[in-house]
Amino acid sequence: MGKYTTVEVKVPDINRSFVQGNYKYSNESVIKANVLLLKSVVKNYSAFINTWGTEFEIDNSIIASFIVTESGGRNAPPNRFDATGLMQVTPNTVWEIIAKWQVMTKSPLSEKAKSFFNKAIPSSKKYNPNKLPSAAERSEIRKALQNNPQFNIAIGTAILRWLLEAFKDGDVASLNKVMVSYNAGYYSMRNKVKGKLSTSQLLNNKSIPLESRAYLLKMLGVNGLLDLWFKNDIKF
Amino acid sequence: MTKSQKFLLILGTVGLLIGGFAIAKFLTRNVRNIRGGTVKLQTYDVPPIEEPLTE
Repeated sequence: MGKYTTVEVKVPDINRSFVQGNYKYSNESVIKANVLLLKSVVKNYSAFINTWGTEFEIDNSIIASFIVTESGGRNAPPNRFDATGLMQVTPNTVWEIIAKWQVMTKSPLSEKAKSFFNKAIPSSKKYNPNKLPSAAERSEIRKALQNNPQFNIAIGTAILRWLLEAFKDGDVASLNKVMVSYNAGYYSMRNKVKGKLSTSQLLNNKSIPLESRAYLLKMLGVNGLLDLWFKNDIKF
Repeated sequence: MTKSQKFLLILGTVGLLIGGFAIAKFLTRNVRNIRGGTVKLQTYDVPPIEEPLTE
């Protein structure tokens, strides 16, 4: 029995495959490219994924799939939404995780995670949960997200756990609501994804941004990243 | 209880245990334990829908 809510996931969760123009997840070349991406993420970041996946009780397959979906395994610079690095995390979300973890998850952040986050962002010890981070604090977080891949993966995994706890249904946490909320943001999604919802229901909910709904197919669809992970028996 | 009754009782108990294990294994044949939970691997009888999502 772990510290957090148990995750239950069906793979593939929907009999539909991601398509955008001529780019299809069911094309052999795309399948090969996505398997290679998953394997390269495993090769480059397995130690970090394993460490923080163990800490936040999230499987390696899920973390690797998020990294591939978010950044294609590239340590990307901040985009127009300020999302940075492998797991495309924004400075404000980092602040929220560090300053408000216990309030949001009803469980204290472990000493290991706390000390790692404080080391990566020294000013985080002084974060005030009632005051958003200053420009200087955001800049410090951005640098850590960009230059420290372990920090990026650790905080991205913490966000996944936070969302799993936030959207759990009873004793079980499902991934589909976490996927759309990771992309679109917890606050914009929390009222739109209330209750037990199937992946199909979420896909047809047009109040959820298109990109966030595409996440569902990219990870949970046929030949989606989780499907490819288990079909190809990718291991660490 | 006679010897043969005892033997039948033990045989029945062992049979139930083995049968129960086999049924449990069959029912969870597509379920794998992953860190933090379980994954149920599914297959579909018809090809997947391949349509772009719309706004």
